[in-house]
Amino acid sequence: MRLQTLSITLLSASLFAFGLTACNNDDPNVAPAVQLRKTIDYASLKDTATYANAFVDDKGVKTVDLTNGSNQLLMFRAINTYNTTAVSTLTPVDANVLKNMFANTSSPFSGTFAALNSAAVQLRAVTASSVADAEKERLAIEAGFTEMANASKSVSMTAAEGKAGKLGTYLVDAKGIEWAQIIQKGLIGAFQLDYIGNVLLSDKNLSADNTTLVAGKNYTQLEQNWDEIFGILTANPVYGGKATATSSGESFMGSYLWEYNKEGFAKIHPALLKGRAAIVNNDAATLKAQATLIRQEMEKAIAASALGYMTKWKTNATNDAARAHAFAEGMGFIYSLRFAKLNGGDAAFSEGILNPLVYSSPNGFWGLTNAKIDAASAAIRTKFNITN
Amino acid sequence: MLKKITITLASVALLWACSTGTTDESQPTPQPGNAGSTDRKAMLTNLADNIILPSYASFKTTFDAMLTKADAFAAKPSQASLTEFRQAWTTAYTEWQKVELFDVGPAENHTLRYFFNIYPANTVGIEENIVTGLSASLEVPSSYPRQGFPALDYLINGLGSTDEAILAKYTTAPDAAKRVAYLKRITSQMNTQFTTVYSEWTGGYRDTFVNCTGLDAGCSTSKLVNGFVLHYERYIRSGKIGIPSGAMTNGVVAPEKVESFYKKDISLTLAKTAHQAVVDFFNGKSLKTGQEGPSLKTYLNGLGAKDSRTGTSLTDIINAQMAVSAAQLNAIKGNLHDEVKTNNAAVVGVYTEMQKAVRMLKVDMTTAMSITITYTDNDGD
Repeated sequence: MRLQTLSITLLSASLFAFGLTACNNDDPNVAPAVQLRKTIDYASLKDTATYANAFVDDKGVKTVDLTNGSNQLLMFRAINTYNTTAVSTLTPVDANVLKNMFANTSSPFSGTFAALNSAAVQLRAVTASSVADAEKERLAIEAGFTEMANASKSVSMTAAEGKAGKLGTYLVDAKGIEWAQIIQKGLIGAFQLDYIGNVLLSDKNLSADNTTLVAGKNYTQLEQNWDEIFGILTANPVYGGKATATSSGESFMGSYLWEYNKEGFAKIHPALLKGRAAIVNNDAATLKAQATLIRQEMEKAIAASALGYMTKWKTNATNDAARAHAFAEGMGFIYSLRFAKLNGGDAAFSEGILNPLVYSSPNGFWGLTNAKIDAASAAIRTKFNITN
Repeated sequence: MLKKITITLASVALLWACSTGTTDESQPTPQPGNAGSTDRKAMLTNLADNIILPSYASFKTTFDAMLTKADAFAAKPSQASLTEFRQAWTTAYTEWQKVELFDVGPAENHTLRYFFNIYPANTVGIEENIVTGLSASLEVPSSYPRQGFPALDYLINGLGSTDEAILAKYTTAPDAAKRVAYLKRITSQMNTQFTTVYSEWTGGYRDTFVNCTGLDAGCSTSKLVNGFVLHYERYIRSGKIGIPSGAMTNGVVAPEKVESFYKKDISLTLAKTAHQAVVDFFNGKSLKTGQEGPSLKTYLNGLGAKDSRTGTSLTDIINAQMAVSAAQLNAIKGNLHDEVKTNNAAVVGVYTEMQKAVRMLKVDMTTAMSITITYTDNDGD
C-alpha cells in the first residue's frame, strides 16, 4: 500500500516535472491538485531572500514557522552560555541543570532563555536520534555535563598537568580537557549534524506528508521539517547574511560551515530556499539534491574543522591554553564525525581515533605528541578523502 | 516502477537545463603590464631551489659540524672540546636563523622549530630530565624548552660562572654521566628532527611544493605565507624583541627571556640575522647568486598591490618598513639582555617598527593575495 502510494507520488512528481520543462512558462493554476501552493519559479529565488518571508500560501499568508527549530538552537545556546558562566563568574556549574536544559525538564532556563521552559521541544530527544543506540550517545553527552561540573569545582585554581582549573581563560580538567568545548562541538555533531542531516533530511522525512496541513497550522509536515532545519542552523533572517571577512555572524554548526568550508557556506542559504521551493512544487528530485548538498557541506565542514584544530594544536609552541582550547575543539569534532554518515562515519570510527589520541593516555592532553596528532589527522583525511 | 523512476530521472535531466548556473569562484585576474608576475609556480620554484634548499644545505653543514664537536665534548669533556663545541654551536645557531622561517611543508608538519628553538630554556625541566633519563619524553610540548639550541645554551654556557665549574658538571659531579647522556640525547633529537625534514624536502616534497600552485589553504602559497607571517610576528617581533622588552607585557621587562640568554653577546646577532633572512626571502634573493628572482615581492607587484591609503606600491612600503625596523635593530649595541634593561625605549622602538611591518604583511599582503591567515582562531569562542 505504501509502495503504491509512493509510486503514485513519484508518478505525479514526474508528470509535474514534465509540465515544468518548458522553463516555467506554464500557468501555476493548472498545477496538480496535490500541490497546495502556487509553483515557485526557482529562478525567482534571491540568494539574499529572508527565509521566513519567502514562502506564503495562495492568500499571501506565511507558511514558514521557525519556532521549533529556533527554540532548539536557543536551548543549545543556553547550555553553552551556562557553561561559560563557570569561568566568567568563577562559579561551579551544576550537572543537573545541564541535564534539565538538555531534556527541557524542571524549568531550568532562566534570564533571556526563560521562555524556553514552556517550549514544545527539547534537545535530548533529537540528539543522536538516527543511530541504533541513541541512548548511549545521549548518556555520553550527559557524562560530559558531569565532567564539566566536576572540573568547574576547580575554576578558581590554575590548571597544570594532573590538576584541574583554569588554563588561561579556559576551564580544563586534570587531564587538560576543556569540557565546555567537548559539549559544544559534540552537540554540533550529535544534535545539529545528526538531526538535520540524518533525520530531517533522511529519505523517510523528505517523503513526509506534503498534501495536508498540520492541524491548526498553515504548513505541511514536510514544510515544517524544512523550516525546522533553518531554525536549528541560524538565528539570522538570511543564513550567512551577516558574514564579514573576519566573522561568520553565525554560531555553532553555522559558524564552522563558514570557517572551515567557505565554498560550501555560500551554497547553504540558496539550497535552503530552493529546497523549500521544491517542497512547494512537489519536486522531489530538486528537494533531494538540496538535501544532499546541505548534508555533504555540513559533513565536509565537520571533518575540516576536526583537521583544522588538530593542526592548531601544533601552531602553538608555548601557549598551553591556546593549545588545550584548540585540542578540545578538535576532540569534540572528532566525536561528531560519527554522525557524518554520508562519508561512512560511525561511533567505531570516532572512538578508533580518540582512543589512541587521548583516552588511553593517563595524562590526556598533556601527553599529546606530533605522532598522535598526525595519526588522528591521517585517519580523518583517509575517511573523508581530503588530500591536503 | 522502474520505468517511472526512469521518467523521473529524465524529468530531472530536463529540469536541470532550466536551473540557474552557478557562479565560478575565479582566482584574482593577473594584471598584464604591471611589473612583476603572478606566476606562482615560478615564485615557488625560485624560493625552493634558490633559497629554501640551499639554506637547509648550508645549515646542515654547520649543524653537522656542531654535532661532531658535541660528540667530541661528550666523549671527553675538556676546556678545548668545550670551546670548540661552543664555537660550533654559535655558528649553527646563527645559521638556524636563516631556516627557521621556512615554516611550510615538512618543517611545519614536524614542528621543526619546537625541537630547535623554544626559549627561554626550562632549566628546572632540563635538570629533571637529566635525572629521569630516557623515560623523559622529548616529544610532548612541555619538553620543547628542554631541548634544542636554548637547552644547549644552558648546558654549555649556563651551568656555572666559570668554565671549570661547567666542566665539573660533566666530569666530577655525581650526575655527570647522566648529564653527558642528556646532552647527547638532545643533539641526537635535533639531528633526527632535522634529518626528517631535510630528507622530505630532498626526497620529493620540493616537487610537491612547486606544483601545488593553487591559492587554497592546503597549497604552497597559502602555507608559505602563513608560516612566513607567523614567523615574523611571533618568533621575531614577539619572541626576540616584544616579550623581553616588555612591549607586549604592559612594560614588564623580561631580560631573562632573550634568545641565547647564557651567551648574551650573540642575541642581537641572532635577531639581526633572522630579520635579514626575512627581508631576503620576501625579495627572493638567491643564496647562490645574490640576485633577486620571483618572490612574494614580484608576486605582489604582479597583482598590482597598492597601499590602500597612499596608493603607492605595497612592496615598496613593506621594504621601506623592513628597512626602518632593521635600522632600529642595528642601532642597538652591546647585548640585548642589558639593553632591555638600560636602553629599553630603543628596544621597544624596534618592536613598534616591527609591529607596523606585521600589519603590512598580515593584513595588506594577505588581502592582496587573497590568502586567509589560518593560524589565528576566528570562531570567537
